Amino acid sequence: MEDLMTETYHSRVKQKVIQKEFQALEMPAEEEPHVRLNAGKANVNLWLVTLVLAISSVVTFSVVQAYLTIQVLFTESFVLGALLSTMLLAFVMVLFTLIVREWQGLKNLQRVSSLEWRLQALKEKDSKATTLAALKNRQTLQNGSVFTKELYQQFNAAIRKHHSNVEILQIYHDKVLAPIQAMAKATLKKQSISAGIIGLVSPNSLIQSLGLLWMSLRTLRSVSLVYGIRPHGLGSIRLFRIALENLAAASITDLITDEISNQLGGSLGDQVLANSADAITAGTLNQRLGKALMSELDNSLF
Amino acid sequence: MALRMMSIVKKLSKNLEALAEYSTDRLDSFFNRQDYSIIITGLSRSGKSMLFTSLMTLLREQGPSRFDALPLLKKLPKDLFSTFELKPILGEECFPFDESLERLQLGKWPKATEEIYGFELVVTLRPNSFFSKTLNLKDKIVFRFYDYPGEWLTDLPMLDKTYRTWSDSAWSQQLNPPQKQFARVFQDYVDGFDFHQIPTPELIGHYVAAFKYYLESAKKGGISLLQPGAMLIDNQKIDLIHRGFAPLPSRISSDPSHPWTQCFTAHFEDFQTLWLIPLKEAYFSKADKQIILVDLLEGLNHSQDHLNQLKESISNLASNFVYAAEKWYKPKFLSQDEISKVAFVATKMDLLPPSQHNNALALLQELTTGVRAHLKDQEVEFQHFVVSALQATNPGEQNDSLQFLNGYGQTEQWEFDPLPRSIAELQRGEHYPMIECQVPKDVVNRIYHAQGIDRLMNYLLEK
Repeated sequence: MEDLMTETYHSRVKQKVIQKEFQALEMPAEEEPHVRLNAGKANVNLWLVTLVLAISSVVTFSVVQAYLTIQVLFTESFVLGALLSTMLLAFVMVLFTLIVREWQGLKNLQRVSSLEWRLQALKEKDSKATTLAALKNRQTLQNGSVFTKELYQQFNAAIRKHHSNVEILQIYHDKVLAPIQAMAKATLKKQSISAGIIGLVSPNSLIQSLGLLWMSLRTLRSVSLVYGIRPHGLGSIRLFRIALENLAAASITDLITDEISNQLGGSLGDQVLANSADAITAGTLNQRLGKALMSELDNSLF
Repeated sequence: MALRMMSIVKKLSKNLEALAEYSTDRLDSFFNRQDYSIIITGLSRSGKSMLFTSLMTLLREQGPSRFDALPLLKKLPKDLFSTFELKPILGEECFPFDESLERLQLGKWPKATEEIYGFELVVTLRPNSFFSKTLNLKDKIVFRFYDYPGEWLTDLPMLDKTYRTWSDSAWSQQLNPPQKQFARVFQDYVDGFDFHQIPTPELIGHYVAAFKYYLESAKKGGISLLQPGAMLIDNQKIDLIHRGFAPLPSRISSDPSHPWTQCFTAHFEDFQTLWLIPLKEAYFSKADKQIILVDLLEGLNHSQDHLNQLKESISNLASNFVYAAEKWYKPKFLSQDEISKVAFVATKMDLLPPSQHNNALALLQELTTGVRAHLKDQEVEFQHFVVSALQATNPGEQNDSLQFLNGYGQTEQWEFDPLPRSIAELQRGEHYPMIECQVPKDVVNRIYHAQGIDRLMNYLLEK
């Protein structure tokens, strides 16, 4: 019937077979990453430079002053001069070590945050060699704790030659990433309970604030260790901001609960009630801090 | 005792945890979720399944890819795309996206839909304002879709008819073009049929089978208005052969006491109550946005009569949906079954040269005149679009030409005369053959070159 119709109807289309290969279409053009207006050196924070210069100047002037003093001291008493010069040398060395460690900590966090190969990308590339090289790179970055070292050992032991790329990634997830996440959650829970206890038993605001600051730093350190990354002081500066926010929030809660307790009469029962509220706040804020760190590290690793 | 206590505490804490998780999910969906129930209304072969496959491919790649395949989808900017998920609607089969994409990659077009699929496309967006970043608010945009055989849609207008009115109109359609040429065999069969025989299941089966043969050949010939469309696909829920019905000559249908009229009337009413009413309530009454897909090329491939009938089919469909303008004071949960926005979409536009798309759009506007009159009364917003779910053709050497791979793997070039901007402009005896091309090998890449899907989705998402 269709043939009949095609014969009857007049076509408004000229059709011909051509001796030309049907061309494949090009992939849509990839977008360039956004170019930042303040790229490179212009992005350096002037305030930070000023602060670093000021601290370096004070330390350098003090060291030079100490050196000159020791030089004069040597002419008067050799023993005293030798003792002070040894102490000064030790101080300079320790200071240098600290700076190097902080620098390494910062670099570590930056390297983890900018891991070239995310798991999805490795899956899509579907190249065993690339995946194994990328996971080796992760192992080097995450060698900061015995826990992660052991996990990577288990992972390496489980890998066989016949495993496909997808299977390797699955094993990596099961042997390394999943245990890390589970351990991080457990560690955070423990730290938050400790923070809550500090909130409950601290007799005054100063002790509570110092205690919570200490707990925040401890939480950052413990959770980082689970991931096998030591961010150190400078490396965790972004997270330290959250720790300070938490401290401010805890102090405000403390003020409010103390005021309520006073209004109620300030009996022991009221004080316990106020401290219980502080404990819950401290625990919750600690959780927030830990989760922020976990999310930061998870985003890089998954 | 201590063990028992431990077990109770464990159970309690587990239940509390589950409750907390459930509450968080509910709260999350309350605050961070925007639902769009979109009904895609398209007759058979209008390209619904291909459109779904393309939309899902594009949304899935929008996050990870380094190119923006949906640049006009401003409501879901690529920068904010986080994740994409395909989920079945509770109690429904999920659209077989992987299977459909796999078929394309194997060089086969998606299979015609023969059952219903209910699914949600969930797009999660990253927070983009200081406020939402601070609170870690994520927007979830949820599109709820149903894919169904287009033949079912053609049957909905039968709900407003009695057997006699349906039979008379079906009979008169068969006597007029374009159905006339396909109905000859059935008409001859009816002329020789002895209606004095008592309708036994065997006789009914024969009569309905002859009618079904007519429906099938008319469908092959590009006829869009065929009822009951449900007869054209296997239906497990209702037996449309032995409990089926077919039009009777008016000398029989006008006599309510005639055994054949009584028999077909009873079967027709069964079809309405057991099939059409539940179908309409379950799938066609739960939408706030509507996309009406129109395959202009099928009409242009045949004749002016086919286009006229397509226009009639579209007008008939509108009467089966509830339309109402969206008002700010109307609570969403009360008006969710009313369609407040309609998009008329001409599909498969990659089979026409881009220079003809404006003409195609004008022709589409003419085909929707009847529905638009209805929508204007309800103050419902509407717009027309030309869309291609992929780019299966390449530009030809002339402005009005296209190149494609034919069924034998040869490259063909077709040069089109200007398309009519109205039905009247298509002269009697003239037609525009439809390109039937192979699935290109670089099909996924060609989906990234889809046209108009971003514009269409953005329109539906806009308030």
